Amino acid sequence: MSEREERCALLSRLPAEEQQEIFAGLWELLKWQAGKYTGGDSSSMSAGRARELLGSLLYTLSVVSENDGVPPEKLLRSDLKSVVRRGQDILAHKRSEVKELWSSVCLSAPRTENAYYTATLKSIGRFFGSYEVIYDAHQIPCDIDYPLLCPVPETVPGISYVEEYLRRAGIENRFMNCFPAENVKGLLSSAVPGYWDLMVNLCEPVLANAAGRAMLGLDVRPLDISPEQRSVLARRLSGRTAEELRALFDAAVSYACVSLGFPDGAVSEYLREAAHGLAVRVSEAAKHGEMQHVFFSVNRAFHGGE
Amino acid sequence: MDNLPGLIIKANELMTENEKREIKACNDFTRRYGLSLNDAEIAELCICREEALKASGRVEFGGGVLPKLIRAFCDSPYLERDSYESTLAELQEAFYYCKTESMDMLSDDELIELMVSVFNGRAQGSVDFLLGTSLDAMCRYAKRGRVPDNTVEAGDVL
Repeated sequence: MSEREERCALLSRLPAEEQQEIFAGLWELLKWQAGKYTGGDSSSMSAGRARELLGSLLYTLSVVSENDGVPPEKLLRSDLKSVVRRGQDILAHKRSEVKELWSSVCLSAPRTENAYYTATLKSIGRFFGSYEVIYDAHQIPCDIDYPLLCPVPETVPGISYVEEYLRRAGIENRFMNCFPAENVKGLLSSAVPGYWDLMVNLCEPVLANAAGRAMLGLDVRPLDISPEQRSVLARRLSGRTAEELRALFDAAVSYACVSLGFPDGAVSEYLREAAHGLAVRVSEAAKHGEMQHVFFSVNRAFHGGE
Repeated sequence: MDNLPGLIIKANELMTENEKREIKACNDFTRRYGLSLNDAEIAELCICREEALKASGRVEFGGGVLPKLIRAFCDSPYLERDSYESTLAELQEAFYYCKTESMDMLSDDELIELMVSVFNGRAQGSVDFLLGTSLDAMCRYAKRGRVPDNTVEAGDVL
């Protein structure tokens, strides 16, 4: 059940009278916001605009609920205008915090260039100037095209989405920066020729090879997996169930994280989640005993191309 | 955010009675012009309002624009007792249509003032004329940011 469905289910369990009260409170809140938006010049507005205003209000209320640990059903019975003002303060503060996070992600971006990653970070940089906390708090006024290993759910609104995107991008940066840049570039040139100009995640081939080397009990930093090592991996991974593969990748990524200095916490957790996606790919490849599209050899002759 | 339709339905239930009372109160003012609305006519106008809002893709907060339209138009020489309710329904529909068409660049009061001016002037009481010619041109003019060079677009309402 999604978060929204849970909220709706929660509301529908309330007695009809209370539901009516909550609806009336939300309508009054929307009316108040619409009045501010039109400056009192108009008694009506397009349904599209009203929907956006409501989306912004509901997101702002949810930010307060999450930040202050107040259950939604309790929050909806309080003075909603005050709650919205509080939410707007939280969002304005969050904007400063997320801007700092953005700076750190930009500064830690790996030396492996990718046009989409660069453009996405630039666009997020412009987000802070155009993000509007009063009427469009749920909007994401920037272009986020670079795909992450584990995408942020599309249902996450507003600055929360940007914050989570940057948090995940920061983890990927930290992981990528553990490997010598020439190894990463050499690996990417084999795995994704022209990677610097394609809308592809750069971390995935690195994670796959690091996990592969960990499974072989090797130091993960060189990243290379030779054809012989690939054959060994193919033998080890074929005939395994999805659960077994998942467990193997989980263990391999945990091992890699420990050897790279991320024994526990957010980095390890995120990469293990991403590795579950790899396990699914390997499951398909293992059926044919072919791993050349999962584990790649580092192209030593490659010296950049971006 | 799909919560809006549910919210509108609930809000309409709460609002309709208030709106009806507000429209009924206008009778005190319009009787001097020989115009008034009975309960059935008021109920019909409320239904027309909902339909007009739906058709123009709009949401209204508060009691609706009808009381304002009634007060602005009641002294028009072109309003007659027999067609009072149907003309109000048409004016209401024209109002919401123009709000949307002008992309909300005209305030309620500005638009009503323009409507009254054309309705009592060139349109000679014809809502079709009002909508089909002058207001349409005015909406285009407002939508383009009221640039002085575009005054030709505004037709005869400037």
